[in-house]
Amino acid sequence: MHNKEQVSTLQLSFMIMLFEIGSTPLFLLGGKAKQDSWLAMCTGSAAGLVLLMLLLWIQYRSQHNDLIGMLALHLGKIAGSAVGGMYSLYFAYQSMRNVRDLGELTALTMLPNSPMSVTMLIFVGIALYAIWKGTEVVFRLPEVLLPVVLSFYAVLVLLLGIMGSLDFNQLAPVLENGFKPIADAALPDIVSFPFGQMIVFLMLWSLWDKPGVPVKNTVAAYLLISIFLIFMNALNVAVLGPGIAGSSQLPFLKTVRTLSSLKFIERLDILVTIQLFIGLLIKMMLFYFCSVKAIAELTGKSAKWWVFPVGAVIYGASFLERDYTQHIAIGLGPSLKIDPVFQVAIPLLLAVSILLRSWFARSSS
Amino acid sequence: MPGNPQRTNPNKSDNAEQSVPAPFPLDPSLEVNLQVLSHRIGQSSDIVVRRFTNESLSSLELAFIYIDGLVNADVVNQGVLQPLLETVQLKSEFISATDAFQMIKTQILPIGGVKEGNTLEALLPMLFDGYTLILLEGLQVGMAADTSGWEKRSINEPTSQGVIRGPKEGFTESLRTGTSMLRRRLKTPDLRIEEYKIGQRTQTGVALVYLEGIASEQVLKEIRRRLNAINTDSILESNYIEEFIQDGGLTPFPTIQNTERPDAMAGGILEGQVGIIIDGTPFALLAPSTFFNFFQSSEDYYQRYDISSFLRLIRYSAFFVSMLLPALYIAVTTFHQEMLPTTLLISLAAQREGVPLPALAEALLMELTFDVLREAGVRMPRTIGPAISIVGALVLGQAAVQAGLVSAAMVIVVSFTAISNFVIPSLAIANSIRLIRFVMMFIAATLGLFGIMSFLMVLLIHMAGLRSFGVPYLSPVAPMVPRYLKDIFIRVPLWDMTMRPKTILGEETRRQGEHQQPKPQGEDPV
Repeated sequence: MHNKEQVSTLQLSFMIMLFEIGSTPLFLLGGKAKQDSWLAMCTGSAAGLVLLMLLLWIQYRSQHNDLIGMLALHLGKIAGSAVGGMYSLYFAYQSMRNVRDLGELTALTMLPNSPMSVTMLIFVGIALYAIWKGTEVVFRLPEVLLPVVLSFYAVLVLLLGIMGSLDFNQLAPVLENGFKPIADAALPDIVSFPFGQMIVFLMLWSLWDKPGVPVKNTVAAYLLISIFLIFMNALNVAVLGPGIAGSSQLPFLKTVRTLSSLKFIERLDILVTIQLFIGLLIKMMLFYFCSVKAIAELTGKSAKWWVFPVGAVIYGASFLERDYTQHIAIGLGPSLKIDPVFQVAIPLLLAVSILLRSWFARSSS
Repeated sequence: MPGNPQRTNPNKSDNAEQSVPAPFPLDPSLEVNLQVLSHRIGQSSDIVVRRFTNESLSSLELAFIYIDGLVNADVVNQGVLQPLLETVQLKSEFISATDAFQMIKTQILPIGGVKEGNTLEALLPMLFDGYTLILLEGLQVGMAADTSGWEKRSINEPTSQGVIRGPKEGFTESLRTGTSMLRRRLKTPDLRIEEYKIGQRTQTGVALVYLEGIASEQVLKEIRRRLNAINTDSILESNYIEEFIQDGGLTPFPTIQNTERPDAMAGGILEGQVGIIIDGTPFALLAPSTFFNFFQSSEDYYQRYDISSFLRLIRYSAFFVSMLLPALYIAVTTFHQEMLPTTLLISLAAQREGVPLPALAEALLMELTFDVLREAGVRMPRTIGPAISIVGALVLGQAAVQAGLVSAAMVIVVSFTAISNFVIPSLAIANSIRLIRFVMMFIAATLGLFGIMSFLMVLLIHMAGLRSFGVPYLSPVAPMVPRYLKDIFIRVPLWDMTMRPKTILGEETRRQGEHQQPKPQGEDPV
């Protein structure tokens, strides 16, 4: 029997994988790089790996502390709390973006006539229920859901392969315009979504049920899922061609719809919808969870006390944007400007502080 | 021997609802004792009191009390009355009551179980267990000889959990028969049987059966605690115990298995579960149980592993079909028509054209009809069974479609759902999804596939948080223990199951040697 507030290696790895999958394969990231979008993904993933190493190093140097504890330690009580509060808000904001994503996508694909307020309320409600049940339950979900999601992807990829609509020639010519457009597409967009979002695990690594930091497992999970995401990206382009893939709202849905020549299973949209639902739910739930955890730690109240208020804020905030266009515009504009601050700048600050401290400690002794 | 039948909870008598009379210590006078006894148990016709006096010879005077029907008359006559009457020493003038008592107890009675008691309260429960009480004049202690033997049902094939290959005997209503069936299967000194008396008025025997060293101590402690905490006046069936001790509170899912099959119970006990056999019912309990236990049938191990694995997968699919099919039908016909292939859609639409009801009402109507039929099938007298089947199948199925009340597709959906429900080996979990199915249908009618997915997610979260006596309900999937997955969705060959699975709380123990895959010896002969 292990403690309620601890998670196993496998749970952590599965959570990393499902969190990184999220809704990512449904979109074509790095569409600006045209047929080289998969190279942009590679670049983004590699840059993300560097960032991940930085995060793991920070965690390694301040074991038993999560992000909030580190901030308080390195920036002082007041500044640390302020930045911690900002992180809590940032996580809530990310969570809210996923809620809105799901609301919009549900209206788009499944329930055009149902009010978004209801679907989003249900969505937040599910996450709230899981977080209310505690860390243990939240981390058990990926153990059931990751195999489900991956097997759905496997079915779809297999069918695409058999149906022969895969044409990897669409990925040529490689590096048509040199490396510049790839780097432009990858940095900072792909780094901040989805790879840079690994920042949330600074809140979670300390939950590991063994001493130390799960470096090997985290990196393995990260690499595996990077390969998967790069493959899915290439798959979309290989089926649809860079033009359509880049311009469509949900390219993966379009990819799957090319399977309609199968007479019996004409529409596999349902699988895509389930993948979307699970991916967004886990991502949104984890951001919500971290937001609750951060603010609970800052205020000294129990996490259960904060579940409802934070949930209400996330739900309320998801109505702030007027429509889908604005939602996307904010996501691609201001949001991308803020991300590097939380994902890169503050971790770097922490790293510098850790180095300085150890340097001072050494020079004084 | 932990099997002390007098194990009762001390605090139970404190707040018992009926007034418990103060214990009556036996009086030296036999007359007084018999009077108090007859006052306490009344003048029931089945109670036999027989007195022996030997006026001519000695002061030795004794009385037998037993309950007709609970004792084996032969044993009473040959084992108690005859030896007492025939022993010469007892007729001696000089024998004292104390000596006679010792002599009867140690030498005369040819009976295994002889107990003593010095209050009426200690002796009465034995009387009701079929013992014959022997009271002597001048002594403040009584004797009880085990003469029990009542009419029992013989061992039959289990009616609710049949198998094609495997043992055909099931538990009976007798607790002792049940424990003996387990002893016959588990001939190890580690098998422990602890007995409790639960229920102030029924004094039902409840036996806890487990393997020492394999069942988790933590689980055992918890089960004992919960059994001791039961304060009720009657236990008539194992569900009484189940409801009093099972986890979860408001959950639709069962966290304790019930079984009629001694082999299934032996299997469970061998994997670290604790069996609870209750006197008076052939249905025994197994705990702790995880969600996946309910999909395992003892026959899985009596067949080849490949076909067993296939059947397991069929059962899991049947579970989802049974839970989701009507809801999916409603969702697709109401919200997501575009998901169907065009030809199927046209044919469905043509069928539904003449149906006056919306899909939800149609589905509810048929589902409820089926539940009525099913309940009628259980309750009706055997002789009119065929009549009900004909009415059910023809009138409610075919005629309803022809009359335009429901569409043919709906009849298919409902029938397939119903049949799928019976594929699941455990009735307990099959019943729980019967209710979930209705909730699912309402949700599908309001929110379509989105609602179904949301509700599935809520169920998943609920199950992830559920425990059965401390064991997570979804283990070994969540929390995942990969090496225990050998017997969950598929069943690997027996020789590959080296370690005992599922004992999440207990020690992981080896159950057989490694490398037992049968191979020809030496070089390949070809």
